[in-house]
Formats: sequence, C-alpha cells, structure tokens
Amino acid sequence: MCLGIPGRVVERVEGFGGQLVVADVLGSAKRVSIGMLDDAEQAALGPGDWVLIHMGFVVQCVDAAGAEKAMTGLELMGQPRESAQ
Amino acid sequence: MTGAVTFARYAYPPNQLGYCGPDGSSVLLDAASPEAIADHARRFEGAWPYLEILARAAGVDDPLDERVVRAYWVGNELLDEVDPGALVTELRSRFGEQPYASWVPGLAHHSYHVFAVYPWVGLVRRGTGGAAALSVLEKCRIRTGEVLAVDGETVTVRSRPLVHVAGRLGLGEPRDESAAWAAGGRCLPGRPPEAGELVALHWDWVCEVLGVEQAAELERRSADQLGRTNAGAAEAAG
Repeated sequence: MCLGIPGRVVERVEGFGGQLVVADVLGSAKRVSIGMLDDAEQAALGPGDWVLIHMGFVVQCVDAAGAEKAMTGLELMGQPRESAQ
Repeated sequence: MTGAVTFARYAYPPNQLGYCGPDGSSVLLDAASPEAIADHARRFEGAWPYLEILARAAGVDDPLDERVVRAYWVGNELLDEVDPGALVTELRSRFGEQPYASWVPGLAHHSYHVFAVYPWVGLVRRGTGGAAALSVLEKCRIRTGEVLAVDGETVTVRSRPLVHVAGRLGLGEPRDESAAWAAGGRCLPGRPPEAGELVALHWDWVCEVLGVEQAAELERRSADQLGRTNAGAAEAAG
C-alpha cells in the first residue's frame, strides 16, 4: 500500500518493548509497530482505537471519521474495501 | 511495451515487500509478459496517478509509455511539462488526506511521493520516527550507486545516504551497502551489473544500470525535491 490505510487495534502484543499491536486491517489481523508514535500516544493506544498504517508502522491515531475518510480516499482510487491491503 | 518493463524494474522491490501495489509481485520479474505487467501496474494506487498526469502532459494515451515511466522513476524533460502547483491540486484530490503530507509544490517524480506525500519526513521532523523513519525514506527513495563488486546475485555499491542534520534533509558521505540484482536466477535490471557501473537502487535492489547522464538526471531531480521539501519545512516553521 503506497498510501496510509486505516486499521483498528485489536490488542497489544506482549513483549517487543510494548512496540507491537495487532490491528484489524480490512478484516485481516496484522502485527504493526507503534514505534513512530510519541510516548503518550503509545501509552494511550488500546483495543478499538483507529489508526493509520504505513509500511507496517502506525503513523497516526485517528477517530472513526478519520478512518472512514482515509478509506473513502482509497475507494476513490479504485481500491474497493475487500481487495485493499 | 518497454515502459511496462521499466515500470516493473522499479516497482518490484516495494511490491515484493507488500508495501505498494497488488499481490503477485513475481509477475513483475517476467519481462516477457508486458501485458501482465501492465495489468499489475494499473493497481499501484500511489504511482499510477503520476503516470496518468505525465502521460497527459506528454500528449500520449498510455501511462506506461517509456518516456512517461522514465520521467516518474528517474527523471527527464517531461517533468517540466507539469505545473508544480497544479500537480499538488490534482494529487490532493486523488489521494485525499494523508498523514504528515507536506504537499509542497513539486515534480511528478517518485521523489515527490517519498518526500512530500508519505508521512516519513513529517515523522522525522516530529522526532518520534527517529532512525527508523529516516531508514524508510532512504530505502524508499530511488538513489544512485556505483557498483564496487558483484558476488552472485548481490552487489556491493557505494552510495550517499540520506541524512537529517540541523532540521534539513541532505546527503551524507559515501558509504558501501549491499543490494540484490536478481532472485532465484530472475534478473531485475535486465542484465547483471558490472563493477564500475552506475545503478539505480530502490529498497535493497538494483533496478537498472544507468548511464552517466541518467544518473545525473536522477540525482538532479531528487536534489530538486529535497530542496523543495527543506524549503517547505523552513517556511512552515516560520
């Protein structure tokens, strides 16, 4: 994915310095790093939170509206939800 | 259909990593099937809009025209036919909101996507991305290198790394790195590179052997974008 894609945090992964979470990305569970977020954002992140993911990294925390907006952008480029990854 | 093959050489590295484009990166290694490559290329949601914009500027119907593809990945005179401000307007309408994108006016060149649309420059500047964000920028940008040695399907190349010093992105002193030019006998640049040749690098791959003028063009266009990115950051900082 050459652009940011929304995901929803499912759980934090034990170990790895607390830097990994499992996120639901369009129905697939993906392990992604939260190392690009600042300490406060990392500490606050939990199940149900929406994030934007880029190359395996969470790059920004967003709300549901922000995630929907990002998804809409992908759909405008011909990436229907079921095939985007 | 040589443009399709050129596209494949540069697009394969991030595609096989799962970062860009659809599944099935191996099709990009099959230079004998340009139609299949073209089908694959149309689903690169980041690169394809640039190719369409450049094709329109060139007055050609095919975004995989060789001159169009080469303008995007390496650089050529076609880049000067796209107004930087109009480019930003069109890309913003096509890509929508992108985290930490600077949207500074720039060229319809791959370096624009890396340094103005991707979040990594913003994350470097924010300070949370650190070395990891800089590393992504370094591998994601198309850069030149000089082949020092060839060992099987890998080469040792000398190249100048991206650095972030005093709030500015630039190039550091040359250093040596390894890159692949083939996988399982399937060659990406069309032929094995040789010691002393200049090559284009993307992620940890040799995409293509470059002539001196092509390498200079890639470096010039990349430096242009870095300058625009640095100027945009300085302006934003007030």
